[in-house]
Amino acid sequence: MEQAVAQTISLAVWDVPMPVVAGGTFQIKVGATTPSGRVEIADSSGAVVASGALGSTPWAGSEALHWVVLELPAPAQVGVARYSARCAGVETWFSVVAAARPEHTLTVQVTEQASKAVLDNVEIRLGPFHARTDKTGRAALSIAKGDYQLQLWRTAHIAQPVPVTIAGDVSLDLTMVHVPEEHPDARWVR
Amino acid sequence: MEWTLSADVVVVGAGAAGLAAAVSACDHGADVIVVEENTDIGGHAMLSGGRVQLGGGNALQTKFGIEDSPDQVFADWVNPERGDSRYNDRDLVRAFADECVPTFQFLLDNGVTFIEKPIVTPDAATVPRVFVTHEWHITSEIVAPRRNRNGSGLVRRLAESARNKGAQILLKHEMKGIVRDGRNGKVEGIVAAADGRAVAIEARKGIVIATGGHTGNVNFRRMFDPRLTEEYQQAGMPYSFQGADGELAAMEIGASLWATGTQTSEVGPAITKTRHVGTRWGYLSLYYELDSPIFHLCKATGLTVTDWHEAILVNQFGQRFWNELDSSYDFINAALANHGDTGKLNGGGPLWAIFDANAVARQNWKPEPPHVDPDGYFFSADTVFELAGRISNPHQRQPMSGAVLQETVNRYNGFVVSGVDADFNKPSPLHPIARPPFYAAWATPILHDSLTGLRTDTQGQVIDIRGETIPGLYCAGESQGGFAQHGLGRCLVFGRIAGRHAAQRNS
Repeated sequence: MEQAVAQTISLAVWDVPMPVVAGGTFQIKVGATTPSGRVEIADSSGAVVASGALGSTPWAGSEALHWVVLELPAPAQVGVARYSARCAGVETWFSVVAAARPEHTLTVQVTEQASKAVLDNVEIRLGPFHARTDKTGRAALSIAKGDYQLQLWRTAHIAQPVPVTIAGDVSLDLTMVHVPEEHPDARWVR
Repeated sequence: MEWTLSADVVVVGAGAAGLAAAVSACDHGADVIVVEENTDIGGHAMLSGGRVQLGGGNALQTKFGIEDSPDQVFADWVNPERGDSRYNDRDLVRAFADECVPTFQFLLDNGVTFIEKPIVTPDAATVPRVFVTHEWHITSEIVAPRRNRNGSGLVRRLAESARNKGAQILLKHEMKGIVRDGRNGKVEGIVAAADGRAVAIEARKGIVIATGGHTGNVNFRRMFDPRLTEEYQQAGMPYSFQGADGELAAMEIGASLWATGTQTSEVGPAITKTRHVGTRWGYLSLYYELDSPIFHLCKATGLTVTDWHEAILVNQFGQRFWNELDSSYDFINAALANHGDTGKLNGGGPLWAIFDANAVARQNWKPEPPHVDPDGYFFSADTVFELAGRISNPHQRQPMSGAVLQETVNRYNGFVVSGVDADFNKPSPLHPIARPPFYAAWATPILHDSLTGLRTDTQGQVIDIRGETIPGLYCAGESQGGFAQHGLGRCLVFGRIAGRHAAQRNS
């Protein structure tokens, strides 16, 4: 009987923050392909740490995914932890990375090296901390103390990782080199 | 044999090689019939970038001060240190090298125009040799307009010139066989099918096979690589079908293949990663806009993937199999591996790009028709589990397990969290696949170059399996074996050579 239910209902978990603050709480969204029911979240020990009833309005853009926002306790220790989500006998899982409480702000400005043009939509990552530059090429991250490798990604641009030590608020001007996306034809001559 | 039509030279195929052969044969006094199975001329070259590699010191190279020579062309394309040159037939390369400059001039003389910018290529060429033709100026006569399909300017000009010089181009005529004299062995003509009727066309001097290669013929392509089963689509489709018609017709009268190892030398675009997902026809550089005259056949533009951080690739079982950022033959070989289908050991089966609503937003994709083809090539669902169950395609030989795909996605999302892809070492996975709805888009590798084909001599005359010339039978272009150069250069050179030699034969 339970197997039949498992074939018709399934789950999604999204908007999981990255990172979460170790010892704090965080919110997630959980949806299920059923119009009613309760969702439970269990931590890696199996203990139920949050639960809630699915809402009546489907998630925008979905066909019939009913959802709920749940708040749950973050892992006490820094590191990656696994949680389970259950509803109507169906289960899935998701990962969370916990970090120390951010005490500082890292502000970056990213430009293209040759043209000096500001670069938007640059993905910035320092360990579990991440951000994306806005239209002005700027991004701000709340970040914990520590030593990091700052990495940048943007389509058709490259940049070497930069070692960064966070001991207070920091502002960085960063550059990426535009590498024109190879014309697909150029690769093969035709 | 009762002939319906008669000409000195019959050219089979109106692509780059066939049109060059037709013009060349006309230039040498022959009357010419070109038969083309498609509804229009051009073949693959119509959809090519128009990048013509004819070095050796051509007029534009000279204008730009580029030092080159036929000897340098030869040395480059028989270079033993490179995979795209070491296996080539050196006699053919020598003929090619010596005919590059006159062939470039031949194009100029026939109205082909070039963008005056030399292109450096990453192949065996050691100096810039590529110049790009201008796109044809009439948009409605371009099959993939506004997408740098400049080959349209090459084939339209050559077709125009061929017609002006007297060649007849018979569209929707599909060659069915070659007629050969049983006494002296000379080929006498072809039999074609047109609108359900047989048309016998006499070739008093010669037949030039320029049918474009074999990638569309599953049985034929598997002679060289048994992995290439039916799930692999082809570049140029659904406009230009390369079904090995010329090779098969020639082999039926004894022709030999040549340098077959070049097909699997893993250099160049014989097999390519797709770039436009969610459509059956997602070849790298080929993007059919909505106003393409064949869009009703294409059915979808596809979603262009410029960054494979935005999706994972899974096999028909819902499992990742390689680092998605890789596009090398290591990726291709992983894609073509057997992933556990015990009922079909060859071929890797379909691949699906799996992504979420956040990827759609970041990439500004439009996951709906006409950008995607929901008829077997694109699916969406509220959950990953549900998505797997919706995937249905003729090449998806069993239902994808929702549990497996869910586990694959959960595990990948864990790699995003940890920053390390413990399975396939994708550098720093960036984006979880988590926000509904979820999508599965056809992303199976696509075949392109035919790098082997019929054996010919340096005049383009086809050689049989005993090493003897088949009198009157020629081959050029992708149906010709022995020279694994990508692109238009070899097609144009050997088309021109073959047309000339055929025209000069005694009938």
